[in-house]
Amino acid sequence: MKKLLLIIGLMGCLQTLSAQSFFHSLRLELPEAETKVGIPIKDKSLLNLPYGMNGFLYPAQPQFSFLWTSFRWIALFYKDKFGLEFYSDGFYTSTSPDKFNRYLADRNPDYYLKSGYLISNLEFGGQALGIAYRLHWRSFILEPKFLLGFESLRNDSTLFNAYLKEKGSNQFLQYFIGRQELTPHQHSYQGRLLIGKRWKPHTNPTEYEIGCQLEYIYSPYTEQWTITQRSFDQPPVQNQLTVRTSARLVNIGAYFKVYLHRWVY
Amino acid sequence: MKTQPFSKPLLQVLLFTAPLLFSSCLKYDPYLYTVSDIKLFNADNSGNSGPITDSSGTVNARAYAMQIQFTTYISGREGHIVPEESGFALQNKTTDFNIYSSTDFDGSHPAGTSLNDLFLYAGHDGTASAQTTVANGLANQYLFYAYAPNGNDTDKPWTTDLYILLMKPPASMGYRTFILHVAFANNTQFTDSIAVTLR
Repeated sequence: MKKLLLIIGLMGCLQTLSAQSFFHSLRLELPEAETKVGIPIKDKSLLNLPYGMNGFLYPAQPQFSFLWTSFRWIALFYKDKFGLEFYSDGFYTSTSPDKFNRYLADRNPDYYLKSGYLISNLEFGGQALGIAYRLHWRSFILEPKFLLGFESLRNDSTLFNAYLKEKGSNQFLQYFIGRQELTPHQHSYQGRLLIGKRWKPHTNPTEYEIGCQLEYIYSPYTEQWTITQRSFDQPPVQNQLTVRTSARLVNIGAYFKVYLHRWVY
Repeated sequence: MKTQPFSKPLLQVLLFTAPLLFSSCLKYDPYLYTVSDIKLFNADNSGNSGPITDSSGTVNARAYAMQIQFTTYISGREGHIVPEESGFALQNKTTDFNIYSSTDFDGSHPAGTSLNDLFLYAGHDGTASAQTTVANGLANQYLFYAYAPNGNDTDKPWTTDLYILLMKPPASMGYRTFILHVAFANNTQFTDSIAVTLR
């Protein structure tokens, strides 16, 4: 009985030691500042659409993102190698109606394009969960990571309205384009690669890291476009288009991290 | 130690921002205006810059626009009026708005019948939509929409133009006279006519 109690006691001690060792190897990392430029990539599915829609949503302009649009809230790293991270991701850019306006002007040479405005922003945002593996070589860091994003690409109340007036006449054509998102829960899959350098001043236990990152975001979704053409005293002509497509972005950026202290359980 | 629900800096921030938050929600009442005169002019809407007043008396029928110049004055200041913020609302609603031709227009529009269904309300900038017909403009009381007078000098009468576009040419071209009759809820009525040669 004494032996049994001794074995149980020893096992308990070992467990506590291993748990302590495990928790001592964890480090909680604080929010990380990053700035990046997002370059939207047009999906192949949008290249050959009818009714001029291949020129509708894109081109969207490359856009800078700063700390408040995209950053890592918090991360937990084991032995400074295996990490679990929580991100708040964001990308926002205005889409341009110019290409679609040119399509309308070419298609209706007898009309003046009086106004063609687009209320549309390519907006991609939400929360993301990431796993990372950190490789160390001297003071350099190489960190590939994968993120699963619970995000949605939103075309912020996409509405296109163009008015064309016939030359030498009061007749007109009016185009409305509306969008409906058919994917109820959109996700994104993101691959990132960070290359950085870490250093620690002699007088201070705080560590600093600076680096650059390359990121590719892929987020599939289905959307439906309704194109309506109106003219005076005529029933509206309506065309619908359902497209299975994806949002693709390449982000190139820089980051800066401060490791305040080792987190101890 | 006694705890306080708000720290002093937070309270100061709230005290500073509260008036700003409330001021943005204030509602301003519009000036009430009355139409005192209406005059018709011919206009040509062939180009890209909106209807242009025509002085020749001959206009392409497909691009004919009727320019209605109406004179207004402020007839009421009720509620919370702020000169820089208050808009303009018609005090006496439009009760009748009809365009006629002195001669037969086409088979379904003999002389003296309303031509409202052939005209489109074009607004101030020459743009129009299939929904904004004269009837719709009348029903929604935006046919006679008053813009701010020059320099916001609301004590003096000012004139504003509206354009209505002829969307279907007549059965036969040539000389004709259009007549406009407008009535308001205060029993004031205006009638003006304009002669034009449609080609």
